[in-house]
Parts: sequence; C-alpha cells; structure tokens
Amino acid sequence: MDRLSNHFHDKAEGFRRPLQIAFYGKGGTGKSTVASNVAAALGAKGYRVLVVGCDPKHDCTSTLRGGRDIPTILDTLRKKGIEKRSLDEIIEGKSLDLTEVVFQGAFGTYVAEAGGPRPGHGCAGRGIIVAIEALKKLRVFEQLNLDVVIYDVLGDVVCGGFAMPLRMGLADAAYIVTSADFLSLYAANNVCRGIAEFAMRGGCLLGGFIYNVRSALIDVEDVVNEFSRAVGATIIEKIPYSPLIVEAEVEGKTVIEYSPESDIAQKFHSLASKLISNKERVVPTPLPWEKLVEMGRILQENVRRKFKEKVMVSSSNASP
Amino acid sequence: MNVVYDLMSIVIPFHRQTGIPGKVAGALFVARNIVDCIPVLHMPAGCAYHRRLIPFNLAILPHAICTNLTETDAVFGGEEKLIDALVAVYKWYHPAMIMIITGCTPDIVGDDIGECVESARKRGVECPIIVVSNVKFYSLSRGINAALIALTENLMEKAECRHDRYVNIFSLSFHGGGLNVKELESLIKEAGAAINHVYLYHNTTKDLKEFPKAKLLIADYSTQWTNFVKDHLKMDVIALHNLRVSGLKNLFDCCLVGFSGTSRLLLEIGKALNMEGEFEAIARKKEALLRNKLEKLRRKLSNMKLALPMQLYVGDVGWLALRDLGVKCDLLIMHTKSLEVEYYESELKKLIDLNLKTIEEVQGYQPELLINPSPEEVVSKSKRLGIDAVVCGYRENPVRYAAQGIKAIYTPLLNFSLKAGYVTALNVYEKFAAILTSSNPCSKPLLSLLDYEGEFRRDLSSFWSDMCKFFYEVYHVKEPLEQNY
Amino acid sequence: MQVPNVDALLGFYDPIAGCRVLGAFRAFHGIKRCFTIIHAMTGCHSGFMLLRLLQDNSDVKVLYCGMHQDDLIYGAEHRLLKAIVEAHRMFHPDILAVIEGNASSLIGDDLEGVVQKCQERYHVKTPIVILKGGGHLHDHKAGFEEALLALSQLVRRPKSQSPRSVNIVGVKPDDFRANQDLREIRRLLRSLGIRVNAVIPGGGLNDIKRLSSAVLTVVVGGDGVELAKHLEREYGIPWIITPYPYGVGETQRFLNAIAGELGIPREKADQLIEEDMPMLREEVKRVQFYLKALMHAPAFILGDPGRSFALANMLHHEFMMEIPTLALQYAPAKEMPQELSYSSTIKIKPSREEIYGDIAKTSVAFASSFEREYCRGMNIPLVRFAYPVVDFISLTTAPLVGVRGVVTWIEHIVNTILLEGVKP
Repeated sequence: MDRLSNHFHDKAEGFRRPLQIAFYGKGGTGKSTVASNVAAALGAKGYRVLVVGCDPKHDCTSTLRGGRDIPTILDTLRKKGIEKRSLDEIIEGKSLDLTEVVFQGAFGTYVAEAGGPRPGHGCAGRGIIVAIEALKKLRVFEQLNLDVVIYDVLGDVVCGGFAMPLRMGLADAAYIVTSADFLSLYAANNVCRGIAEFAMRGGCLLGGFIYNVRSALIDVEDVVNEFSRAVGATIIEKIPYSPLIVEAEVEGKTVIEYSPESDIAQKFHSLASKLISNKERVVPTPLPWEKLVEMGRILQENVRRKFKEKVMVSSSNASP
Repeated sequence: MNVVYDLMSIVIPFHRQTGIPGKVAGALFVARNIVDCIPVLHMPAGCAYHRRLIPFNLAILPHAICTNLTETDAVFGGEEKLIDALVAVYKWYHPAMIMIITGCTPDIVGDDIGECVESARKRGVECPIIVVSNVKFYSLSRGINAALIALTENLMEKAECRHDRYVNIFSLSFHGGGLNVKELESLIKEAGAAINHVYLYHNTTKDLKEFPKAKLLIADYSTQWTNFVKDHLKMDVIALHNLRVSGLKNLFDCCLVGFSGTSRLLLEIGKALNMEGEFEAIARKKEALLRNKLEKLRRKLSNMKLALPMQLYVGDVGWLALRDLGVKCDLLIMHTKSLEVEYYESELKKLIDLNLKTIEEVQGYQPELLINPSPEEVVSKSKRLGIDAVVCGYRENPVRYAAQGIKAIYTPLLNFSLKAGYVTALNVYEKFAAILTSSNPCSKPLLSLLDYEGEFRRDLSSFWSDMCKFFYEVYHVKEPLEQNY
Repeated sequence: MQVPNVDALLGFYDPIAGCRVLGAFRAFHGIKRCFTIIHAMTGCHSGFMLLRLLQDNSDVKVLYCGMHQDDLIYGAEHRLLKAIVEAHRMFHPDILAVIEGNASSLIGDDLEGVVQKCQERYHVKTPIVILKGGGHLHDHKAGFEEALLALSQLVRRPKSQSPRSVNIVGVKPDDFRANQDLREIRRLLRSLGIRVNAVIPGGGLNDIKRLSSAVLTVVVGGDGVELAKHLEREYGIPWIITPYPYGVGETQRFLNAIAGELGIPREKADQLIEEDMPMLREEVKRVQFYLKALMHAPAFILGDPGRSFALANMLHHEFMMEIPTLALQYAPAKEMPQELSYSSTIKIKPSREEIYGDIAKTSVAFASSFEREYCRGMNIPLVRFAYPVVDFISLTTAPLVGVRGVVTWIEHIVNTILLEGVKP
C-alpha cells in the first residue's frame, strides 16, 4: 500500500526523493538531541530539512522551535473531524493543509510532531502509522522540496507502528543512537533485530551507530566500538559529553544555535556531514545474549573503576 | 432489480441513524459487484463472518474469505497469514483480481500490507492485488469510496487511447433508481456516442481496467471518488445529483433527473463530448414525442398545493413535480436536527434560503416554512393553507398525517425508481399523480397501530426514535461527557 | 464463480460461524430489557445490529459506543462512559451488558474503570456486566457460555426452592421460531405439572435472580452448560442436557429426561405426546405424496450442535431422509452425548469451501440465510433454520418443537422445496 502510493508520487515530474534517515535507540540515549542538532546543522548549511517526531510525548523537535508547543498531526486530524462543516465540505469533509501540521523551526528547518495518546491509553503505534500516512497524502516531500527527512522514533521498536520508518519506501538508513551502558546496548541490539528483519523485505538498512557520551564519568568507547563491529556496522560519530547541550535545551535551543562556535556544535556539524555522505548500509547481525552480557560485564568493570578513581580523587582533594 | 427489495435496506432506520456499516462493508459491496474479484478479509473470522451480509442491499456474499487472525496474531502480527491466504486464494480460484480489506486488528498492530503483497508476488501471485486503505477520521465516505479510489489508483490503467465519444455510467443499486440506466444508455447511443461500460454490477476486472477509455463519467452522485477520477484520470464527470450546493442560486441547477432534468443532462453530456448539436437534437426530439403525456399530467395536477420536504439536493418526485408538472408548494418542512451537529448554523441558514429561493423561482412566491415541526403543527398548518397533500420523504411519517385527515404520500419508493430518462420520469410522475388524485385513500393502515410519540424522530415509533437519539448523542455529537478524557 | 470441491484447504478460511462477541451478544440480547453496548468499531456493532434488525424490527437492544477511528489512537473510554450514561438515562434498562470488541482489547481500554466511574460519579444504578477480550479470543460458543456466566453474578440466594420447577437454559430467542418454541416448551412442561422457574436467555432480570430457586436446570441442546454447572456448584441444583425437542422421537426423549429427573411417571409424558398424534396424522395425510418424495433424499445440515443433532434425528427417523454430512458451527459440549444413532460425517467448524462441496452432493440443505447464494446457484432448496435467518420472518405462533412442531417442519420443508426447487 505504502509502496504503491510512493510509486505514484515518484512519477510526478521532476521530483527528487529526499534522503530519509530514522534515528532509533533506547529512550533517553539522546536521539532527539542528536536529531535536532543534526537538523539544525544541516539547516545552517543550507539543506532543506524536515524532522518528524514519532513519539506521543511530542517533544522531539522542541529545541528547534524554541520550546514552544506545536499542534501535532494527530490532534489536528482529530479536531478537524470534530469541527462542523460548511456546505462546501459536504463531499470531501475537512481538508488538512500542510501549514497546519508542519512548522518552521530554527535555521529554516521544518518540524512536525506525530503526537499520540496520553500515557496508558490508546495505541501510539497506530498513531504513528496514521501520522506518517497523513504526511504522505499531503505530499510533503514534493511540496517542501526537501533534501533530508529525519524520523525521530520512540525508544524500542515495540510494534508495527513504530517500525513504519523502517518499511520499504521510507527511511533510506536507520542510525542507532547508543550510549555506553548495558541497557542501551541491549536496546540497540533489539533494534538491529528489527532492522535485519525489515532488511529482508526491502526495508531500510543500518547506516551505523552514533555513540552519545551522556555522562561525564562513563565513556567506554572501546566497548561500544566492539559492539558495533560485532553487529557489522561502525560508529559514525562520537558525541562527547558537554554541559552546553543541557544548557541549550533549557533555553529551548540546539547547541548549533546556543553556542555555534563550541566544540560540541562542531561535532554535530561533522556528524551531519557524515550522515549526508555516508553511503555504507549494512544488514546488522544482532548479537546473542551471551555476547551482550560479556560486554555488559566489561562496562560494569569500567564503571566501577572510574567511580573508584573519582571517589579517591575527591577524598584526596578533601583531605588536608 | 426489485425496487421494493432494494428499498427495504434503506427504509430501516440504520444507515447513520442507529448504526454505520464501516469500511469493510463498503469495500465488500464494491468487490461483490466485480464478478472475477475475490476479496480477502485480513481480520479475525468473526469479523468476516457477519460482514457477508451487505447492509446496502441486504445481499449475502457466498464467499467471505479471511485470514482468521487470532489473539496470537494480534501480538505477533498477521503478515504471514495474509501472504499465505493470497497465495492460496490465487492457487484455488485464479481470480482476475484480489482485493485486500483490513479490519481493526491488523490496522492497529501495523501489519505491512504492501510488503505482504510483494511477498505474495514473489510466491507466484500474478493477478492485480488491490489494497483498500483507511479512510480519514470522521469521513462521510467509507469503504465504498476507499475501494473505488484504490481501484482507480492501482488498477485502472492510464488509457493509451481515450475515446472522445465514450461514456462511463456509474450507479449503485442503493442509489435510488438502482441500475435502471437502460433509457439513459439508449439516449446516449441514439445521439451517436457510445457506452464504454456501465458500472457497478456484474462487472469484470477487464471492465474496470477499461474505465479510463471514456472521456466522460456519468455518476449518481458527486463523491470523493468522482472527484478523484476527475483529478487523477482527468476524466469529465457529470453527477445526476451534484452535492456542490454551495454557491448555487437554484437547487435545480444541480439536479439532472426528471423530465426537464434529463434534457439538461443531455445538453451537458453534449457539451462534455463536443457533440452539443447531436444531444440537443435528441433532447428536443424526445421532448416533442412525450410532450403530450407530460401536458396531460400537468393538466391533472397543476395548481395542486403540496407540502414538500427540505432538500439538500433535489431527489424527491414532489420537487420534480413542482418543476415539471406545475404543482405548487405552499409549505416547506425542514428537519434540521441531524444537520445541526454537522454543519455551521450559518450554512444551515444558507440551505434554508436556497430551498426557499428555488421554489420562488419556479412558482413565483415563497412557501411558508416550518422548521422541525411536530406532526400536529404540520397538520394544523396544512389545513389552514388548504394543502392538498403532504409529500413525505424518508424522515416523515404519512400514517400520522393520514390519521388526522391530511393526505400524505410517502415518496421513497417513487424516488427510488427515478433515474435519468424521459420515460422513466413519466412513469414515476404517473404513479405520483395517481396517488395524489386518488379519491380512495387507505382507510386503516396497519402502521397506524404503532405509537409515534418519540420527539426526536416523529416518523418512527417511540422506541426507534429513542434509538436514533441515542446514536445521535454518542456518535454524531462528538463532545465527550468529560473533557479530561 | 465455481468453487472447487476440495477436501482440505490451506491458507485461508471462510467462517461458518461467528466469534465470541457474537455468542455473547446473542446471550445478552436474549435477556429481556437487557441493553448491550458494543464497545468496538462501527462495523462490529452494525453487523450485529443488522442481524437482529432484519429478524425483528422491534426488538433490537444493541447500542453503539460511538467509537471513531481516532479513538484507536487515543483510547475510547470516554465513548463508553457517555454510552453507558446515555443508555441508562434513555432506556432505563434492567441490565446493561458491555461487550468489548477486538479494537478495544488491543488498545487496552479500562472497561472496569469506566463502569466504576459510571456507578459512582454518574449514579448509574443499573447492573452492568462486562465481557472483555474481543472476538479473536475464542469462538461463538465460548462467548455464549461466558456471557451467561457473567450474568450469573446477578443470581440471588434462594429463599426456598419450588418443587417440580426447572430452569430452561440454552434456547436462544434470536433463533428461528425460538420464541414460539419456548412457548411450546412451557406448555408441554406445564401439562406435566412442571413449572418453568426461569428461562435464560429468554427471560429478564427476575428470571436471572431466581435461577437458584429451581430444583433442576435443563440445558436444551447443550449450550449454557457452564451456567448449569455454576448453579450446581453454588446452589446445589442438578442439571441435565436434553436434546432439542424436534420431531416426535426427540420430544419424547426431551420430556422423559426431565420427567425422569423429577419423578414424574414416563407414561404421563408419552400420553402427552399421544394426545397430539391424531392431529399429526391428519396433517401427514395432506402431504403424504410430498413426504414420499423425500424418502432417502440426501440432506445437508449446518447449524449449532443441539438443534442440528435433533434435526438430523428427526429427518432420518421420521422423514426417512439421509444425512451424509452434518456440519456444526462449533463443537458440542463435551458432556453432551453424541446424539446420532446412524452414521453420518460430522464436521466441526469446517471452512465454507468444504461445506459447499458437501451441499452440492445433496438435494436439500438445512442451514442459515448465509448459505442462500450458494444454494440458489446450485438450485438446492435451502430450508432455513440455523442462525442467522435474516431473510425469512416468522410471526405466526407455530413452533418447531414438539409434535405440533413437526407440522411446522413439514410445511416449511415442503414449501421451500416447492418454491426453490424449480429451476428458473
């Protein structure tokens, strides 16, 4: 169904499909941070970028819009259905305009939030399907003449809806954002499973990993490297820890906007360029449980050692 | 086609009054009318089971093949089952087309239907596979439009050669007049044009593929699908009942049935096919041939004073009698309850105005207006105005008026027989005239034994009035009881 | 399109019976003044509604919860809340039943929470029973049994038990001529001095409340056995499964089984049957040649186990027909003895493709309205009896059960063959 619709759209004259990237990874690993900063970096370089937030919390693109709320696609669709109609709208009902759900963000980027139900209710996965289909029906790619589309997807690929971007005809590559902790790697491994499955039927492949060092204390690049190698991919970029990220987020900004000359901003610029130029796509080989546990133990050892060092340093600073 | 049988499915207070069939029923209805198409229902067996009863014409499908999704499939996905079903159906039946219709379960779970189709192809399914996708929220059109749009998008090939004089006729059995298109066909052929195909009854997949060969589509109503045909296939569309009433000065401008309506229809067809002369000639010829019969009816009925029901579009024989037979409308009855929840108040005012102005343009004066009246109010007003008969549409109850000495005609059966065509129109007008002028009205209708005290729907028994009100409250009135939900 | 005659089909299924939700709906709807709210999408509700509406334009107590498509995303609890409150306000039912469809079961609507809110905040005093889980969980029979069990929470402790009183369980009022059948069953039992304490489904809330006051539960045809077991566990009321009383033989067995349990002499039951035999004889005389034509005619039967077995026995022993295949819409209760005393292939929940092949080999089909198109195409008369019968109304008082019911059967079968047996 999606494939056929895309085929139909592709036939429009002069239409060039944008590069579509999906970011996956465990909740809290920094997907939205990465997605927003990459979008801002690309926007600053002159690319026409759309970020689609696929999370019911609809906060994925917050730093691109100064923290202000925007109507989500699903809420807008629902409201349209409830509103009364004019006699003009007897046949087609209420129409949806692109400008009602896609908004301008920083650096000329476009942002849209799928939205979804409040916690504990409904089916968010279904919501993602409906939201993405709505964007396609609005011919968002053609209308905005986009260069890049970024899908920022909730946590794990828990059901069919959240795997929408992985399906044939949507994302060209999936990137997994991970940090150096066992649960993040575990979740990343699970996502690899999903990607491998979809890859068998023409779905998108893995472009690589983005190692996001969220902690000032824990940076175990070796293990993350080993993981990515074992799965068959590479780390595209390592995003070091920087307090500027948090500061910027509090201001409702990306670091690209908040502190454009900073090292961390340069990192995101570098990542953005790599994402554009990276043509490598792999079918990941998810690791067996035992191998994951082994890596988890190394991480655990590392954390213990670093923590001990920190305590010793603090003690020696404290004692006269 | 038996009109009374068809009408039974429409007269029950079901469609959008106490229930709504939904996407699956509509899509199955379309599939049923394509003889070499097998619908595959991707849903649990229970859902497929009762959908074989088509609510639009009470037909019963001999096949309702489904993928029999279970609770396990709801958790793990049902794609494998769908692929197996497609392959098995193709192997056993070799259909010319398969139509996949999904239910709630795969829609929620997120089964990738496109991928299933591709996998089925790899396993040897060669026929076209149409997927009926979802309709938008709160959409008026459901499965029928969704299925037709899917067919148009994916099956009806772009015509290599479009014939400038070819016409498609599209009619559905429950769209009033059923498939009574023979006269329209013969008029078109007589003018020198050709009928590509008549849809949608016992058509083949080949017929559908040939759909784009025609230059013009004549459909019962303007719908989402006819708009889609116009935009995507660049085909001209003429709707016998055009629902684009906004901006109109006269409701008859969008009505192409009845005697004069048929003449207008022929002129419009001629214009669309660049054959104005030929179609005008046919129109004049038929008018001249049948003019006497029409005049005879006119003489019988002219100056008869009627109460007419409000129209969103003209489809009632009483209104056509206004235009073609010289009857007068001294009282207009509007029932706006179900419209109030869907349309802005200002739009309803426009509609009322349009009704009044249309009548004024025909007869020279505006009728009196009653909005949401009780039957007693209608009776009292009718007696005061010297109304000869109350024309009752679907939402009126003739039995209540008859019980109080006012003649009433229930027109749905007559309206159902009305289609484009002069002879068709005259046949209906004759029946209408016979009932109107009958001096022997029914004395003791059995339906008068029921109680009609329900306030919400005065044409129905109290119980059904309450059922309609309930549905109105829970479905049409979209505000929840509590805002924090 | 020609259907290939195949023994086993792989890959798809064409159902001959409804799901758990339909079974539950039939149970709830059979209770007087019990309104059922279908908490599902429009198609689900409209399907059940239409099935009922076409049978009886007056008794349609099924309501829609108002679910729209966007509720699949946001949840539909607010719809159910409004539906319950409005149903209570408008219809003042004795019982409200809420049945959850597949969509709601997938998105996880909190039905109990909604019901609690209705009772506490909106003062809905009507007893509300819930059936969760959707239709894909189990089949039609399971839904019927679970619904009756859900209703059993309304049973009251008995003040006393009435002697020679029985509960009748398992006759579904929306079956063809079922109301007439219930009337006839009551008459027959009354003639034996047996009081009918409660009929479920078929009675109302008071019937449910006093289920515990009977001395015996009679499960007619086997559906409703779980309720019977529950009554035995809770109130010590024994139960039996009887055949559906179609035909003289089955009626005799039906009456003898009940009479035997209640200590009524068997001769009394036999005498009751004998009283109607002269009438039956006279009617048989009027159709003797038509009946001759039916001798050894192969018939196909599709229906629920209770009525299908009884019908098969009647057709074989009394109409002298052959039943090569008996297709059941669901499996019979395991406590139910296999009723056929002659050989016949019994198929349980076969795919429709299979049974079409079987129908083609017979002269008359006994099934539901859903087999109409196929039978018409094959010029095989379809005697409608199984659920659902939606294209044949039954307003007259003639039952299908009992000796008097045999006359109705004769008329129904012979007329059907006369009308539909002629090739157009």
